[in-house]
Amino acid sequence: MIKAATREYSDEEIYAILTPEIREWFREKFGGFTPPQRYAVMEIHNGNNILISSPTGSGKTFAAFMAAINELLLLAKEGKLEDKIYVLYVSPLKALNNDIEKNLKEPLREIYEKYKIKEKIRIGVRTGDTTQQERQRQARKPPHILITTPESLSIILNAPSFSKKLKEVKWIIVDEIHALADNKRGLHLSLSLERLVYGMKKEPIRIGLSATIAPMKEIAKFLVGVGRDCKIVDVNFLKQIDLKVISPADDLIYTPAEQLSNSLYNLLYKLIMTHRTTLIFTNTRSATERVVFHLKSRFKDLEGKIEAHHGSLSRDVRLDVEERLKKGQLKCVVSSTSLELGIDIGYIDLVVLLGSPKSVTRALQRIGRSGHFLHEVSKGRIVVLDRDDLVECVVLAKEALKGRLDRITIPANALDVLAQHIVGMAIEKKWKVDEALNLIRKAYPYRRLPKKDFIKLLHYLAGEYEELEDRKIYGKIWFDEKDEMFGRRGKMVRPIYYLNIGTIPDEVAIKVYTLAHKYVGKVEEPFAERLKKGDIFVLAGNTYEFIKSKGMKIYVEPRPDMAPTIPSWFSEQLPLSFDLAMQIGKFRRKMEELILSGKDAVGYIVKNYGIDEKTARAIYSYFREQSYFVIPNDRRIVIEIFNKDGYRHIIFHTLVGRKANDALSRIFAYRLTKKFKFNVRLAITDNGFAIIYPWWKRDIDDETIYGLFRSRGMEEDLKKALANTEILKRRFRHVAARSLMILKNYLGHEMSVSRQQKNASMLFKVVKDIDPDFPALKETYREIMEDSMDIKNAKKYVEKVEKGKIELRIERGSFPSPFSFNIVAIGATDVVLMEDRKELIKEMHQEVMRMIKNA
Amino acid sequence: MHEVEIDGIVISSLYAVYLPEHEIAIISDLHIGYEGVLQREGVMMPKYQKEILKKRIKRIIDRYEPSLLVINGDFKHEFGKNLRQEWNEVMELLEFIKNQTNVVLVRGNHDNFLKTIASKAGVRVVESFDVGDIKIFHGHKDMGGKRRIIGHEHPSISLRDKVGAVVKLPCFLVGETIVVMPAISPLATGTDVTNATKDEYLSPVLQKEDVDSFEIYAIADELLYFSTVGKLKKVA
Repeated sequence: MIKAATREYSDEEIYAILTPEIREWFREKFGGFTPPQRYAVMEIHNGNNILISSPTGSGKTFAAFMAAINELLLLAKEGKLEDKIYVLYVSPLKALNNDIEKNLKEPLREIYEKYKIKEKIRIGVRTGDTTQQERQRQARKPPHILITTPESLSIILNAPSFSKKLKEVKWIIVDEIHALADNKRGLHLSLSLERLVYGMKKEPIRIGLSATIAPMKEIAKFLVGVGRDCKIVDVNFLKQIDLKVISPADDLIYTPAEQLSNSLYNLLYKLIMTHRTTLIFTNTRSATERVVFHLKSRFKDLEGKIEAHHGSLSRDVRLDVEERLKKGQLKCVVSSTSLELGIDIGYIDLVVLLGSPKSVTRALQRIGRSGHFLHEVSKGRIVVLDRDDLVECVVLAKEALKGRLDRITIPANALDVLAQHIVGMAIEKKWKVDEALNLIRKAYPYRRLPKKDFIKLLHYLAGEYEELEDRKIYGKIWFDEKDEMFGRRGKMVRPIYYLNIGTIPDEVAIKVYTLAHKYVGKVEEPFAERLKKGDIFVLAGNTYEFIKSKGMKIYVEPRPDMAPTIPSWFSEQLPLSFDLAMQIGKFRRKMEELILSGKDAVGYIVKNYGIDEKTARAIYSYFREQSYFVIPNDRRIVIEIFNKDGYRHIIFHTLVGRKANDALSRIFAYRLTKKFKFNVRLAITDNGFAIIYPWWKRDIDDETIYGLFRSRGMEEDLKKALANTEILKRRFRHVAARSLMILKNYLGHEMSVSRQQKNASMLFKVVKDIDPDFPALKETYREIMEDSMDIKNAKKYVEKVEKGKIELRIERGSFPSPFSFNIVAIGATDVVLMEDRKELIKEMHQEVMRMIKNA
Repeated sequence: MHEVEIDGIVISSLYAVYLPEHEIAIISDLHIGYEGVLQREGVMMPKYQKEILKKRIKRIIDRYEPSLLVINGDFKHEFGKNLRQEWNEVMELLEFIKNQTNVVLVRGNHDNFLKTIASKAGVRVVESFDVGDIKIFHGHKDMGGKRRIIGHEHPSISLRDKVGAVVKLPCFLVGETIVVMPAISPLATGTDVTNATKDEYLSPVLQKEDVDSFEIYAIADELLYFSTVGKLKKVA
């Protein structure tokens, strides 16, 4: 049973269960307990699993550790501490692990000194960075509290003697669980935990720590696994939020770009100078670079006081920025997603979100980084840059203030992560298939794993897509299908496992060099893939022109005086959450209602959304303009058809978020190209998508368009639409590596990423022909269709149309409606190819020859 | 299926060159055993090539009924000592061909142990093969010749549509006095001529040629003519 923890215990009640030393020390230091502590400490003391969600600075760490430390201290006083691990603390961040060690060691040290306690509670950290010496020390004298990462945990599980010391662990604490539940690292951890507790006489108490997130019940189930109880403590409502949406100009449409830019940076500067330390979040790494670049060049007094922080920067640079931030030496840090997670970054009094954060939950998580203590208000400002952003953020702000979070989805049945664990399990011992399957199904994301998928995976790991003779070379396990048993094979499996497990794909950084072969920095692969000759972009604060690419390198020329030209953001753009998209759709319907009935729309917005009249007026005019066409909303999909620049555009105003539109657009485009046999281009945004093709090709009638909204066969069509795409090939590489089909580290050789990609492409070609249902292929499609895109919501949406809950309205006109502008302006973001490779090649050939003739 | 004849040399979408006057068919770069090398590198690549190579070779022999099949180098990929599987495959393929026509092996750069294999199978190994004024050799070394047919390069072109979907096609490169053959191996990746600069070509023979003037015939079920390397590079 998953239920809320309803009892808030009093200070006295909690003090009563603590050892006198801790009681006194705590009372002296803090006086009383914080809300999460009051809800959680006793529950843990009573042996209940618990999920604690509360803001930064609310005493979460103590809430989680208190009961355990209390018992350990008792044992320490009596000299009864044994050589085993009592508490396992797992966090996705290595940096956080070091913070925690400090936050535990310090208080304990004070207690030991004050009360002359001889025996110490040993605390140890185990991550990829732990030295050999330290590991050996830990093997001899295991820490009582072990701090580690999900990856290191899965390695420890297979360390023959060290893993034994874990077999009586009493408390498991998973921190930053919100950053794990919706991705493969979390899935990997969930299986590690089930493997850990398997066979234990007394199962440990599980404690989860989370930032604000929804749906809590799901996260709790994820934490504790199937068939176990859990209580939930959610005290996020206690932190006050001061959130406003602001725009740098009154008129976001006609203000010239340069002026808008100036106003924006002036606005940012003003905010920075009127606060002690400001954290600015952008949505992409390139935007981060751009903003720092512009602020530094326009405002010389910011020099040395403003820095960028993102994943493409080297570790040293990032650590340096974090240190200076903690010490209060920086006035402003600009980040994309890297500072979202819990590392202590010192005092921040203002968070600025540049552009929509695309989800209520993310907005709250980011804003929550300001105002370090529970009683301090979290101050956030969202700066919008266009009218769609404006509408989106106004709705978002209201949802945020109401605490209505959008939901995350926990991926299910990822076969590549499972493959690693099967190998790990096989190394431990022999298993009966059902025994293993039962264990796996206790992990929440794998609760519905079909047995046949499991068997297929066993076949693959045993090397069985191959004639008998070659099994020895590939098989990492042996699998006896008749007796339904499996176990490890060969001596190489253990080192292969150790050196190759993990879920994070090798960072595919494309290295950037000048033509003179000087190294500049790295860019992400999806960005590099789309570069064309002449594009100018910013890297490490300078501008460069793209000259050519070769394998995993690109070559550029410095262009210090030129402005960047490439809209590099679209390869990283965060997607609008589906739940928020639905809310915006409702808002549109309300606006339409008000406008049609002549009521005071501006007043309504001011009153219900807490923004000033000027901003409300800007929103109103946007809708007013659109009302000369037709306003799409959550119950009406408007499909606009018009010609522009020699191309026919079909705009689908499907406001479902980019992920669902990614799926929907590809399916529709595939269905069209299948019927009419020509290639089309796609432009995809959160608010809809456009299908674009040369005007002289045939017109598409209403009948055909209605026919696109057919829910049956959507998954199959999406799969076919993905054939030959870059995303399929790239993801296959990630999945193949995770499934141990490509060993990044084998017999002492490290395989470079470019080699991995080459090998992956070859494997892909081969596997596709041999067995289309091959586990790694199947998982690649699943990851793309369910995790990166949102086929499930896309399908539900189409079903609603079929059921008549959403109307379709086709409008043929001579130019785009205002709501279309962003979709059209984005330009083609992707192409959907005809299914028939033969036809595709023919078309491309004709194109190329045409271009050559004209050149 | 599709062919183009240039000066008595027929290039075919079946991955072969045919000399009708002499009834000689030429294929190049089979790289048998490539999978084994990948496996030793840590890639779970299943044995894939053998059946495809057999199919492709059969099609060529059925179509042209040559009296001799010249294998223009890299019949096998690198392999080390004890790899029974790879030896078996190599022998199996040689027997397969021998049962249908005569065969001669031209040495390529990957062909270590070739002499051993050849003697076991009773097949000749040569450094190059002359037919009239045409010299057939692998191409990892320049062996002169008036008109030349080489392999080694595995040329291919990549077609990238406006927004990035890529299709890669193996191709023939045809110069005034030279034909560069594509690899018949389904796994062998090669030089993408749409993107390569002169110094990136593998063959020393091509280092001395004006490759930009070579004409491209790509294989995609049929032969597709793509004008010259230089012109394609400009628009790609």
